[in-house]
Amino acid sequence: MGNNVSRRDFMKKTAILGTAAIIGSDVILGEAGKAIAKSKKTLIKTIKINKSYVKEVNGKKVTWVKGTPTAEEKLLIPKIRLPLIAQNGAMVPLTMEVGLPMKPQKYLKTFYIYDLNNPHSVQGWFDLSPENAKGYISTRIKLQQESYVQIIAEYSDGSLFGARKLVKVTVGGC
Amino acid sequence: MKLGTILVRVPSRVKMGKIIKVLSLTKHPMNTGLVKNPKTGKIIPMWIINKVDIYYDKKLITTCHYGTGIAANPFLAFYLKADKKAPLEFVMYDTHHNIYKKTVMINVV
Repeated sequence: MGNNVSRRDFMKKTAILGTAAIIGSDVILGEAGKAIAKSKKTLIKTIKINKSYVKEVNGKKVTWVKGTPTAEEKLLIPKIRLPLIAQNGAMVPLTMEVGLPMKPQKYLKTFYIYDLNNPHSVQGWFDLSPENAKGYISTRIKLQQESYVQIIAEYSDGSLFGARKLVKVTVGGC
Repeated sequence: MKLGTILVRVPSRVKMGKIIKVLSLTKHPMNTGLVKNPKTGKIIPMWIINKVDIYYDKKLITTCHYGTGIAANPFLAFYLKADKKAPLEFVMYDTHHNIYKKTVMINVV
């Protein structure tokens, strides 16, 4: 019996260990949280973008990012949500989103939608204001065939960022 | 549903300063002007909503400019910071010079 650990002892020890682990992780998390908060404070001034290139769209200089964007870059670069394969081309749900909080100093001004296979490539644009609090718009668009859907986000300080995504369409709906 | 009716969904009660999602749906054909009627062979003329203005407390907050690529019965969702008890007004303009309006109240507690 001496070798056996009683249930009560076992529970006590595990409880102590568990709390210690939680406190330890808390300390680490707390530091990380502070770092994130610091980065958020400085974020409005400068956001570093590493692998980028500039391409002109309709006479405006738009910044594009190579590869998958980092967490910091995701605040500026628009995120597109589209189905991989659209079964009905007459009604394809499209959501576009930007992580940057909308403040009067800097906010998302306009979202542009382009369908690159369409002769009228501009599908529409949406003007937002700081009262919206989130750079988010959701609509439905028409697609005739497999094509790239391109989104450009324009900020109040004049900077432009773009992103695009390929959609496959089984039945066209134009 | 009659042509031009606008359905808007907002939460029935909102806490002060919370960010809410607004969903809306409009009944409209949104003809592009490129499609032929299969029975008569004639082109269906273009008829789209081209502009949507959204006012909150009589202040313009969002404007949508639609082209021909927006689907029929246009759906629109966006976020809004509810900081006062005020009406939210949708005004839509189409290429036949019709104006559709809808007003909902945002109940801030």
